[in-house]
Amino acid sequence: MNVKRFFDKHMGFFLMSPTIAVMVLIIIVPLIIGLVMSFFNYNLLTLHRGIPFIGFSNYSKALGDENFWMAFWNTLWWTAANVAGQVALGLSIALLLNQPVKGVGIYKALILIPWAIPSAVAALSWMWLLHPEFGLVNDIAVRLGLVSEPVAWLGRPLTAQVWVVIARVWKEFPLSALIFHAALQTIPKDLYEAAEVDGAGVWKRFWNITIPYLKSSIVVAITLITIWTFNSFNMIWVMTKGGPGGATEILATSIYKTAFQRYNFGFASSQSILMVIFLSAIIIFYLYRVEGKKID
Amino acid sequence: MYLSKKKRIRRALLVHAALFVLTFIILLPVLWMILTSLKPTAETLKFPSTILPENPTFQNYLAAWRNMRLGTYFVNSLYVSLMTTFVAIVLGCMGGYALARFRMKGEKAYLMFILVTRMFPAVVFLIPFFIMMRNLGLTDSFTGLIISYTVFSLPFSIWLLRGFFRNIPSELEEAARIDGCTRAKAFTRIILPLSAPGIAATAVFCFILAWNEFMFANTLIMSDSKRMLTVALVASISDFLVKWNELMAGGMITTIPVIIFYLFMQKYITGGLTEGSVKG
Repeated sequence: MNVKRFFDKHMGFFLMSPTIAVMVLIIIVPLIIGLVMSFFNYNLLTLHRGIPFIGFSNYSKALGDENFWMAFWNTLWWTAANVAGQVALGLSIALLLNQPVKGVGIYKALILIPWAIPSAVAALSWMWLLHPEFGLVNDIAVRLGLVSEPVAWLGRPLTAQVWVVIARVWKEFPLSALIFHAALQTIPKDLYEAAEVDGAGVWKRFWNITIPYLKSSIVVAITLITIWTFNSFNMIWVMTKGGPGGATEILATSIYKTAFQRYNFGFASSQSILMVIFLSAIIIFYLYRVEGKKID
Repeated sequence: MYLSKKKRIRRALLVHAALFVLTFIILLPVLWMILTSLKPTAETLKFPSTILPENPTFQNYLAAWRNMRLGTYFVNSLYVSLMTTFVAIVLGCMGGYALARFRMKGEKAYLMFILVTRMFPAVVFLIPFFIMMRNLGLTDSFTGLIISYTVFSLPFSIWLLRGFFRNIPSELEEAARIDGCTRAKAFTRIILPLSAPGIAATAVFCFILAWNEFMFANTLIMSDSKRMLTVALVASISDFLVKWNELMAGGMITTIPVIIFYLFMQKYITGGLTEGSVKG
């Protein structure tokens, strides 16, 4: 058997092995290192004193830490608000785009723009919109008489919480709009017409035709948005760094601070692994329910 | 059509009006970014604001490019993004093709694994990566950043490319093989040209993934001259006096390449993103 034929016969193996090697090196190895680090007091500031093994101490410290739980609840609220906002806005836009009306294609291209903007740039442009002295939001609010003088929107806990959610919903909703729009297009148009002839009103048509057809894509959208929002970091980090006073501190920003501002890598690792454990239920649901069917 | 003409026109007007208003509100932050980028500094410091620039100027773009050194950062981002794309596409084509055409043990488990890694929070990788890169002397280096971006772009490109390759009927290859082609030849002569649009779409996604990234770039690069574009922009708001007009011009410079790509790639976006599960 010559070399060429040997290569030909085992081509699958030759093609797969480089990607598997790379995946092991850059994904499996770091995950193992992270896991191992979480059992050590790995602190860059006290490296000269060695890296003592401390068992589950990092974990028990995290689980008993008030700040950790505050970040946890903030993350849940942040995620829930994002899911609600993105699904509602995405669905409304998708329904409008799906109307049998000429010339709506241009809107489909335009609403995609926020999603194309790098999140760091989007966060900066929202900071400018919300600027405490010269921001457009203050300008509009003053003109409309909603506030008597400019407000530092990102400087107060409650308004900061609301605005970071608005900013991220604005940035991310186009994806769910596209998912819903694609699903809506699979609904046969004559179904609506028949229902209308039979005298079914707008709401009845929506509940009895649209929603059943959309059900599975709504499940997909909610699951994905939940995972992405739970993991997200950029918008909050740039806009508030978790402030003011921890009001917008989510797990991702809090862990980042533990690692790269306090250099406590062991503690940060254990928290990041707890984060994965919290997420695992929804990841398993997603794989089982949504993707399991597609992989064959 | 069962609807009367009058009713149809009324409905069309309503839909257009609703979409127009919504789209306008949605694009307002972008419009404001554009308008601000065209205003002289004094005008940005007015309250109430001038809506349209009174003395529109492109000076901010020049200032951002030169004074904020965005020219350097643009080249940095371009280099890292192109290299990330190259690595992801070469390895992704190999892996994606193997997964599409050969029966292998553990194939399903491997695909599941690829999906799962896309759902882990980035900090889970960032923390060990920082330590690894530090020990390998790869912090503050483009190579280190490119390697770390492969964590996200490779699973994504394998997944997407596998889908594109599977859509090409294997009979085409079999016919070529009967005519005496080796597998490698059949791949380069038949599969690659037919899947070119899919490969291009995947490449664009990988490029944008790297171009837009912030967290790793913010952590693994320390020296000022090696910064990525997104990091450089964010860093400039800690300056004592932020020039928002120049910053918005910088934002536009960072965004325009991506938007151009997106408008071309529109039809691939839904499928590509929900399947490959890119982070937001």
